[in-house]
Amino acid sequence: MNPSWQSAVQAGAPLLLMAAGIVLVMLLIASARNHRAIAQLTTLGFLLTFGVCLIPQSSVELTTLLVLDDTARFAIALVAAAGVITVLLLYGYVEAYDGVREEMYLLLLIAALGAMVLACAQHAASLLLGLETLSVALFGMIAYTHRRRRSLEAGIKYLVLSAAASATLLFGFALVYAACGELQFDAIGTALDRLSADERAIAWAGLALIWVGLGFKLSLVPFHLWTADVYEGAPAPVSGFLASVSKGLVAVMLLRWVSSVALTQTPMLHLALSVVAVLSIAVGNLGALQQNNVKRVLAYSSIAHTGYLLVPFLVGGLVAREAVLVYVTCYTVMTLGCFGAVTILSGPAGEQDADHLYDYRGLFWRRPLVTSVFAPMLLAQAGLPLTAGFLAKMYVLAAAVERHAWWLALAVVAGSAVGLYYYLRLIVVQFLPKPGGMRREGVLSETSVTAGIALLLLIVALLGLGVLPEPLLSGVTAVLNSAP
Amino acid sequence: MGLSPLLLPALVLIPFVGGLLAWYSERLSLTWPRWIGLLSMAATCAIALWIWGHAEVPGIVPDSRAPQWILEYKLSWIPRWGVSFHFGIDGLGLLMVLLTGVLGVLSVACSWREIQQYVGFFHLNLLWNLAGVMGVFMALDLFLFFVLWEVMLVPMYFLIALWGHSSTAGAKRGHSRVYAATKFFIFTQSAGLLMLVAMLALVWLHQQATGQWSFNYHDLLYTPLTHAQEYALMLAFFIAFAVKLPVVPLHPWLPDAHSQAPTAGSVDLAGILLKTGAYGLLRFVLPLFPHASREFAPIAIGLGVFGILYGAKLALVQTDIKRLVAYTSVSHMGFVLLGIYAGSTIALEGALLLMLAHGLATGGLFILCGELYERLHTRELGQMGGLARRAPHYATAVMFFALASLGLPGLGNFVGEFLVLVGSFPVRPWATMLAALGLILAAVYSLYIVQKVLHGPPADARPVEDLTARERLMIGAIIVSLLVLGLFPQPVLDLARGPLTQIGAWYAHGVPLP
Repeated sequence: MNPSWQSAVQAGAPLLLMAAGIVLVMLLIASARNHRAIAQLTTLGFLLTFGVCLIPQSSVELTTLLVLDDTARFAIALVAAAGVITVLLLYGYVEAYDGVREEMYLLLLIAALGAMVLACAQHAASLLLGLETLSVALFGMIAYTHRRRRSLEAGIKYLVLSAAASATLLFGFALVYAACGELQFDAIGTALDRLSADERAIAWAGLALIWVGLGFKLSLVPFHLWTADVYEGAPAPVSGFLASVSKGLVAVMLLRWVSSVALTQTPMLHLALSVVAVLSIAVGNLGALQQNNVKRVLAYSSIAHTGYLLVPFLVGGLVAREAVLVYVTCYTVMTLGCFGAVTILSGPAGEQDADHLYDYRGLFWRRPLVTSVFAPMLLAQAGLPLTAGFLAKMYVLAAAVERHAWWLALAVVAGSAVGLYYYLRLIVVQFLPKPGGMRREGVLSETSVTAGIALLLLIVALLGLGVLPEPLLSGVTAVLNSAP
Repeated sequence: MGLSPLLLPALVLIPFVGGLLAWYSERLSLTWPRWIGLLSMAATCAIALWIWGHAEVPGIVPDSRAPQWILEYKLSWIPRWGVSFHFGIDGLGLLMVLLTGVLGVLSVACSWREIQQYVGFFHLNLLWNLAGVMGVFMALDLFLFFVLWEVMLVPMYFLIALWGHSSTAGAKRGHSRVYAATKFFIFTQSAGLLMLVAMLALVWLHQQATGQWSFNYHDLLYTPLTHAQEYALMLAFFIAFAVKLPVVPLHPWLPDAHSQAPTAGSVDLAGILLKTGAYGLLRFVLPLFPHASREFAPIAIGLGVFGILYGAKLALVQTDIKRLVAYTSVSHMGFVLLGIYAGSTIALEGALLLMLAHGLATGGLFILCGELYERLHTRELGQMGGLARRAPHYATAVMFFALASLGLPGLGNFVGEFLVLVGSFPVRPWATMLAALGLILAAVYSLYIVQKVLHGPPADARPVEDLTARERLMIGAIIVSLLVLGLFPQPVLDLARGPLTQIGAWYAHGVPLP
């Protein structure tokens, strides 16, 4: 069924808007470099995209590659919102940078477009296209402050590992194609059931390789080794975008993948992934215990969070699908918030961001507003009630309990208990007195105000989702019920 | 005249808003936060007394199907999961709320001179903690209960971590106040998460049986459970509450947290937070899982009796006065556990009375320890002595609370312990006999405190300031309340008899289906 021309344009509007934004920004950079105008234009692009996603529509297939259903629109809106926040955080950071500034926004828009394509992907080709667009733009963003040794190193590390992951992913799809002769998700799922034993072995190997490739992107153990170095080296706002959007959208895409190619069709893979989830929770939490660098703590905690996020994929069911979307939304808010707080204290000058634990000593007495955002964000990461983090954790546990996955539930509980230690350490250090540093500091400027607005929006979202989660929950339920 | 159900959320909101105001008012003056704290807690006391005064206490209804509340307040919150803001109060809850209010006032009052740093933020944490506790004693929705359960943790963590003391003994072993606070938090939170899993499992089982998501206490009471399910869920709930109570193998956080916390924090912990564990057992574990609880009772009673003797034994060898008092709490809470799992109405009443009396007496002892620390700057028993002559009023107060703690007839603790023992003896004679030995040990450690602190040669010749007017007022109020509890316990027992009889009946025969 081919959709009419109008409905196709209407459905594809978010992607078209993003693409148009990219072209405009590029032209503007070529003609007149104006940091503020470009930042404003980027924000406008994201806001329009966000707005377009809110218009209710029926689900439309654009070719066999892309499908724009409610899930996709939900995820695109999430990317756009994260994009707005990232621009607000980036503005002050990039303003202080003494190289070219404007390309950062171009890269951000491209990365966001890649993530949005990922949200609509229902075919191996569009999956790879989206993932590569996202990754290639991210290399540039990570290594943007390339005069810093760490930043450059992080960029190259991400480039190499990401290329390896893409190669694995491609090989996996090649094997699956060899066995099934299909590349579209649904078609692969149905084809898997009628394979002979030999073909099935090939297909299973391919599926395993696909998960390996995506495991890199999600930084699941044992494919997590790049995470801490890259998060530490990248500029703080970029780390936030990388941690939230790049991971979250791979998870949304996986939601589509497992609804076509169910994990129950491949019991071996299911078992292996259960082990991976438990390992990710263990390694992430135990690794974070040993870090003294805030960005590295957040990196390890994000490994643990992907471990939690994998649980609903493993158990399956409607609550589990809700859990994934709720988790991704809440996780995006709290990750952006944490890295946002790091951003507001950091700048591109000097060898690294303000990411040492000592930089945070006595922060509450020096910059109470930053701590008032950062501390709740960390409590949310730890999963305390009245924050979005609790909602996310509760959904994961509910999904696990519903399917009697007691071991996974226990792993989540044990991981959260360990996690408390390093989150609390990070929080309490902000309240401890710092010798000679108890005076109030405060810089009120345009740049600190934009980042401040971002943090304000995030804390409102965090507490709003925590205290009154009903709008999000009913939204998620509606989105998933509309899916065929 | 009818009571407005809005009084219940008000009990939580007053300290909550009071905390915010106190924090903000710090910039006006340092005494403002103290007065705001005092007034908001006094207001909660007044509300609790008002409810008591106007309540039509339901008569004794052992075979009534549904629990009876004096007041109930319900507002939908997350319909997707059947979660609501559901508060209800009965005699049991009301007494605990009143205890929280009274000890809240005392906590604010005893910090008047001790806390000089970050005064506003201190009162924010103190009041939010109290707000959480108030909510815990009234929540009838398991989700809400869990939320409030956690809400009371975070401020307590800050109270210990930011305003606590680092004891000399602790510092040698590298144990700072942050260490104590983190230990407290991790113990309680991980047990809490276990309870969350159990809650979700219970709710899910209820949904399987009825097709309806609900976290409501009234609905979940009647969830059909198989034997294994009931036992597993009961165990998870029990562990969460046992950490708080604390039951002996789960107690290691307690001596550290109590001794390192500031005075208000210790009062709060010993007086109120420990009671949330006992309250949880009474309100949730026994009614929700009666059969499994009955099966588990020998183990729970064994742990309780062991705790009585173990806590008392360890109290005897402490050199830090706050650690000593902390271990006596472990011992006294063993009696509460014994009373709860003995399950007869008399034993339950004894447990409740002991909770109230212990809250007041131990709160008083911790306040006196705090006063002592302000004067001598030490908590080592070896560096005290001779206070009977140097500060006679202070010495009298210490003597009184030591006697209360050892269970002198005429004071609340005696009534509580006596009722627990009387109520338990017909059910578990051997355990009761062993537990009674704890009373002898209690006499030993109480007199040990008196001996070490009040008598003997003074460590130095410095004069010691006697109790000030504010301190006399605080101590006097507690002394009067303990005497009232000890001499006229009947009104308290009458108020709680209905719910306790019902809990006892459910525990004995299971919850009858509606």
